[in-house]
Amino acid sequence: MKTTAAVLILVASAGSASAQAPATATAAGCPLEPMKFHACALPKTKTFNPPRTADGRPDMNGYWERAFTSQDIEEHTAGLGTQAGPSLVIDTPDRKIPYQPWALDIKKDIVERFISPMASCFPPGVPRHAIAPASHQILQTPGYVVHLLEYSHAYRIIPTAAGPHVAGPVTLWQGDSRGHWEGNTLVVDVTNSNGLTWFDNAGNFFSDALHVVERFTLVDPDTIHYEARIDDPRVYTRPWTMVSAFTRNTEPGFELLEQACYEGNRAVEGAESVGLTPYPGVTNIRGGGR
Amino acid sequence: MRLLLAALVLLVGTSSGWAQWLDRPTPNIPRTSDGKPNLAAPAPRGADGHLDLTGIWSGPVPETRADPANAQPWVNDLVRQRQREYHKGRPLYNCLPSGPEADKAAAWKRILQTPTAITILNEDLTYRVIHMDGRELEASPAPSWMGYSVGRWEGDTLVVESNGFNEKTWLSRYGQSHTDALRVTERYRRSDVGHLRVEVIFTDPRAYAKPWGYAADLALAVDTEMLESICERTSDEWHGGPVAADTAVSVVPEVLARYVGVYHGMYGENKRTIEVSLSGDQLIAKVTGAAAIDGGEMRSLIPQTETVFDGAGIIYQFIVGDNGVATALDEIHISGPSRFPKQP
Repeated sequence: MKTTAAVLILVASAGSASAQAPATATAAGCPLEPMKFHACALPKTKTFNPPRTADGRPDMNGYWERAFTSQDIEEHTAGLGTQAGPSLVIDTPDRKIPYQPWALDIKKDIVERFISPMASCFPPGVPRHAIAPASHQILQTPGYVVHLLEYSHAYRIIPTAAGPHVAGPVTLWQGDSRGHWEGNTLVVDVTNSNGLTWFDNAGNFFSDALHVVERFTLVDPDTIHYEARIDDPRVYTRPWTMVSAFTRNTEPGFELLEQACYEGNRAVEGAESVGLTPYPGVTNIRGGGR
Repeated sequence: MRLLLAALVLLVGTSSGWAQWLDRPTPNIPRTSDGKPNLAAPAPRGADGHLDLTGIWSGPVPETRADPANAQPWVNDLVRQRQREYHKGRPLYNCLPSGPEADKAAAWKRILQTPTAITILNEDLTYRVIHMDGRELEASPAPSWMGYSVGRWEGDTLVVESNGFNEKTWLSRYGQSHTDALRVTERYRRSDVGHLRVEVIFTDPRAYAKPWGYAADLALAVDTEMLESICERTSDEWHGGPVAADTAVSVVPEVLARYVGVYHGMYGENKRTIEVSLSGDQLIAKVTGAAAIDGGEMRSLIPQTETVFDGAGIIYQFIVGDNGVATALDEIHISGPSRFPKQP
């Protein structure tokens, strides 16, 4: 067990710098820059025969680090306490999120109007769960994949003996995940998002009509190719795809610590003191906005 | 101070009534010929031969009033102080993890089992990992809200030892404190498909002369799904106890005494009984009938006027006769009031 302070001082708005991959970093012999990683890693997954769990599934059990923070999933320069990073979007011409014009208008000043949901200690939602702060753990049992976070002691459950999604009116912070295996890839269909989370701290958003299809594939024993196909016809002009990577944390004796996010969290008070309000979801902004 | 004004939005999953419409057949459980889950069938076992505790579980809130004579004076002082404050400092009310709090032991949770680790995933998005790889507890672990757990099998009983708790969690909703020397021993036994008994012992010689504990009887939640219950700092929908405590008024005990009694009626399709008693200078309501499996829930009634009280976010209004003695109790929900006449 790590003997450093058990409570990670990760105010939700800041990514931990150590988790940010340098621009030159590689994994599984591929550059981590998302578009290059995607082009390099996908062919390798076709031939890689991964280690297996007792029930024959690719073995992703263990501790993982995200390749990129969730500061901004579009390309961004360094800011106060944050690092520059590439766009995680791989399939739009300018590698930006294809917002509809009204949505782009909201995006322009969204962070000056609303409190970042993770600054309020809310669960990250999907797909942000995959790029949420600090270390991650994946546990597999027959029928389930569990993805644990240090951030705000959040987790998500992916049933792989997938039945149908929960009923339409139910909306959830973490959405409703239904997984299945396609060859060596864990494919997860996610609906029923409450639309109150963001992709990142930059206010990139979706509505509660969000539909995500994620693909987790081992590239080598210590690298996961992560892809999320994003569809939300209320907000975007077309479906689009983001890609990131997980690299295995092989530190001997490593364990997740606990971040009780609400403990001493002053981020909300600070945001309110300069006039920000809780993010109400884009449908409510559009309906009754300024 | 505003940060402490936590409010809970219990989205789904805290009562069976909510869960019923989540009609989702539980895979891989034995069923009778008419398709119903056979909860009395033998408990399943994993490939390693050990019992498999995998499933969604919940049960009645266990009764955990500790013996004050067994506690150090400072523990009893804290219990009294916390009662005077209507338990507004309870971690749950402040969006903080409940740790070893007995009242959450039977709350909705999903247990998943692997050979080297068992996870307990709680509906409030806290989790525990119980290490099953033979490691031992550390002598001086880093303190945390949920503690650090290792487990072993003694025959068909899973024995879990935990330490490394910070001193901020409570052992029950009544506010029993503990020190960071706390050690928790849990014994889990799945007697058949549908039933899981957990016996819990708290050992903390710096706070309690003798170990003490409780037992919780959990039932498998079948053909449903556990969703999430996320704590929000503010909400328009339900302001919990801490808000009510800030707006509390003082009502003299002679008036409160006129409300003591047993109120009974129907809430939806469930019979509900509310036993109102006086504890010191506070009214306490024991509400039975909130769920299909129900051991009764104790709620402090926090006076907002002479007849209107807040009980864990639900408004209660006593209907009084000319002599000031209550004849009925209204429990007021968003959907409207339910009236429970006082029993003779």
